Amino acid sequence: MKGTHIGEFEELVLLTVGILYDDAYGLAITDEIEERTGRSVTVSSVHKALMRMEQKGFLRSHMGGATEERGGRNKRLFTITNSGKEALREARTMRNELWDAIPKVVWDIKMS
Amino acid sequence: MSKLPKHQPEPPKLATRFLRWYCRAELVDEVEGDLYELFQRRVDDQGLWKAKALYWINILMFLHPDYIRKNEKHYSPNHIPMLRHYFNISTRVLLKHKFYTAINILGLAAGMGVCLLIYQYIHFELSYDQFHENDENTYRITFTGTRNGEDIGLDASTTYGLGPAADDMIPEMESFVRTHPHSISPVVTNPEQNEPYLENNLWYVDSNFLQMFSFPLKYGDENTGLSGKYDVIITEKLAEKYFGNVNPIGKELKLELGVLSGNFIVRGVLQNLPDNSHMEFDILLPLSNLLENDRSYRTEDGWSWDNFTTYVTLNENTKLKEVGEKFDRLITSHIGDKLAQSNVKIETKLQPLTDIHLRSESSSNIQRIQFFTVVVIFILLMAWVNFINLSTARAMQRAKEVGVRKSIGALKWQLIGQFITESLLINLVAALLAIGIAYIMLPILNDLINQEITFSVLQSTKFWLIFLQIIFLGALLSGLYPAFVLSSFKPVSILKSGKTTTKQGFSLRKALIAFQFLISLLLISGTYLVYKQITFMKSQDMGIDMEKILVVQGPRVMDYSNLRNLYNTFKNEASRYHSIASVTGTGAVPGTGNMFRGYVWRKDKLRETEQLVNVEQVDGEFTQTFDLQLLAGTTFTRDMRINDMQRSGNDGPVIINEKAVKAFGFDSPEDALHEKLITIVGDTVEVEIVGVVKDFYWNSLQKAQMPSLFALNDAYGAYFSFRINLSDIPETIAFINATYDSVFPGNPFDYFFLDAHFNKQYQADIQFRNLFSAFSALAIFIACIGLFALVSYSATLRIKEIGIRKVLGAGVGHLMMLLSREYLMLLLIAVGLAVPAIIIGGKAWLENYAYKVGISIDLFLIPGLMLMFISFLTVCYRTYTTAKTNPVDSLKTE
Repeated sequence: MKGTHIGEFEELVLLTVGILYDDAYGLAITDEIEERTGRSVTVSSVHKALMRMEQKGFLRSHMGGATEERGGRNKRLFTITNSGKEALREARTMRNELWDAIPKVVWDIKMS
Repeated sequence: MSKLPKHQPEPPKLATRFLRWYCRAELVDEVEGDLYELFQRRVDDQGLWKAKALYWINILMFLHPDYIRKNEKHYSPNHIPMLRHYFNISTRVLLKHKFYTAINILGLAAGMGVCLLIYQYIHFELSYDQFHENDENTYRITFTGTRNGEDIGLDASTTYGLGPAADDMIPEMESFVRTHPHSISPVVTNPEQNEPYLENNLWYVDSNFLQMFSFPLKYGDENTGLSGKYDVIITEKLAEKYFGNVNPIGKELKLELGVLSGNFIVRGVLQNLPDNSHMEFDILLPLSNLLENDRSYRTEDGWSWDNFTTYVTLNENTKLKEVGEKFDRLITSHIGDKLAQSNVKIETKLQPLTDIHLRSESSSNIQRIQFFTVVVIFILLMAWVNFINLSTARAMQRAKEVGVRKSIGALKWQLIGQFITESLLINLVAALLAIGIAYIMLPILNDLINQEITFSVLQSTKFWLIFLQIIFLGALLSGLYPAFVLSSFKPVSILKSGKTTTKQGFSLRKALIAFQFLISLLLISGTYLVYKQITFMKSQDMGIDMEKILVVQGPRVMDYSNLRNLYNTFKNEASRYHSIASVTGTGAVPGTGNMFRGYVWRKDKLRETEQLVNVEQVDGEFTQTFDLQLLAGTTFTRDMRINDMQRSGNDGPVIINEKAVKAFGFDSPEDALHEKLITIVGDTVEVEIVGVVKDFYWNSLQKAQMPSLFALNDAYGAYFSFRINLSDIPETIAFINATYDSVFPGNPFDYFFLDAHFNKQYQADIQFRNLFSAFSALAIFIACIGLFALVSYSATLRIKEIGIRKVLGAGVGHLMMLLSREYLMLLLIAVGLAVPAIIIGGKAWLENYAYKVGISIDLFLIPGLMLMFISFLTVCYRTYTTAKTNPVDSLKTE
């Protein structure tokens, strides 16, 4: 478990990279997160998260082509690595286990 | 990338540039691209301005350690270890070769020390009169022009009437002050103490003198002093002499000045005058007093006597030329016809106050300063040349070091850095020593030039900046050549053979030595020339036997109605003493200048033929006492003297000199006898020539002899000259003193010997010679230590060669010749180069003198031989010890 732990925001970014599949770059990820979650995120925070996770080995990147709309600048495209997938899975499993561990009673009380 | 749809708005350039500056290179592109895309979208959604602002915010948000560019150099940017290494190696090398280091530092320090001193001296000379508050707008009125087509030079004497007339006519003028130094020393007494002293510097000045010139007062008020006719202002020095330490304001001081005598009330005490003031006075009296009591000054409305100096202050931004022209017109309107009659053309020049000391005719100070500047620069250059010579000469020893450094990868600039550090170190140490040397030598300089200069420049930041700049520049320049030579050795050849000395480096060293010889030669020749000229002037036949003449200052306190009798009593009493041959009373004596200088013309000719002549008032014994040689006519006879007693004016018999015979156009001395001459001294005066004497020098030989006229006047006793027997001087003086006291009670007794007095005129020349010889001694010293070090160096290099030669049977003399031959050659080259320089420079300097020595062969020969001797001694000492060494020792070494 140790070393593969990811934070909530990181998890969010990682998942979005997966969603976008082959067009996952900084701004696109930002947009996608904003759209799906309705949260306001800044490009810079997404960027930083991407870099951090690349260093941890959860992401791999390559330079995509430059396009007109970017004023001729390159984009860095991210894909999830195996350990990235592992990390996501782990996070999910952990969450499910935790879910399962909640006694039924809690839900009943809450609902009433 | 290429074809942009419509024209797209661009994000703020500055922000992008900022991003590119701070962001890591590998990240810039993507970040920039994302932000660009975002920007474009925002422009559509939110408008251009908001988009731009948000773009900025985005860029600032990327300022995060992960994104900020790291220093790209991989090695440490810290240079200190390398500099410390330079420093360490330098000190080690310098300490290892103590002898060369000491010589280097010593030579440099001596040169720099003298430079410092001279800088201070020049600084002092340039600071003259700058302490006056209004120095920028204050001028002295001077004239240049011609008389009968001859240049009259710069003349600062103006008439009494000029100032007031100009004040009315020239609106640019704010105020004026006239000064008039009194030529006869007054006797001053404090009536409460009754002890008389003779004072020398008494000036009559206008009452606003202290408003124009900022001489600070110790006591009193600058606005009220000198407004009354019997006011007097004295300096602190005098106040202490007469009143001790009390405030003397309001006290009386009795001044005896002939018709101008009186009891004056002290209205002000000035702080002692600064050394850098061109005005020198101890007593100031109101000019109004002089004009009231001495009517002669007022003749022709004050436009006749021109022994006043006029200073004016002008409004700011005045055009000097225009004011000068206004003065010219003013003068023409008053005395234009008189000037035309004498065929004089003048042009008024307003001389800035601060220029007076350096740029007046009487003192060629500015030339002197320029000269010293050049000499000092040369001396400093010589010291640096020594440094260059020694460093390159020692190249061989350092060659291995350079080779090793190079082979382990030292870059050329690093080696240069090493050698420059060494040079800087030496220069800095020398500079520190130089300050010490300058301190020690300042009293010597003061002694040589008779000034009280203090080291004031050391307190100015500007000086330190210049000083440091010069040292750094010098270190760089003198270090650069050796550094390049040393660092350009090829490591392979050095390490293999140890041979480094290239022909090139050696010939530059030779050229530099020749340069040092040249400068030394020029300085020695210069000193020798000045020395010769002074000796020449002193040894010249003056026409008077000055050694035997004792001069006593005449009395100032006496019954003026009975003056003629008192003078005669004194002279008769004194001449009865056995060792006094004769006594004469005169208005001035040789060496004190002239009482009167005026225009005189022949009665039988027109006024246009007038000549400027010196006029002296002398009594009947004048020619006998000074032992002047009569060429024609007689001395003043008894009859003439009896007549003289009866007449009251200035008419009477005169004796003239040969120059006057020529100037007035007489064919021979005999021809001049009984001719009449006319001059104007208030009234027209007619005199008759009764005798002609051979020319003799009344003034310094620097000036040409003037036509002179000696008028009989037994009632003149400003000075009494005694022709005495030199065998018992003390008794003679005691006798004269006693007689003086009994005939002229209440007068201080003051005497001097005429030859010493006369030679005081050469003081400036003697100072010049002293400084000159000090410089040449220094130059020789520096050149010799350089030579010494170099010879010892080349001797050690050739020690094996010498050993082998000795083994093969060479004698000591032969070996010495071998070692010193090349230096002798250099010396000969230097002599060859020096000859034309000495001829040209010497001629230019001698132009200043009316009577001068010629430039002859000894001017080159003696200094050349002297330098040859000194350098030969230097070389010999070293070569001798080398040649004497046992070849066994020298061949065994390494």
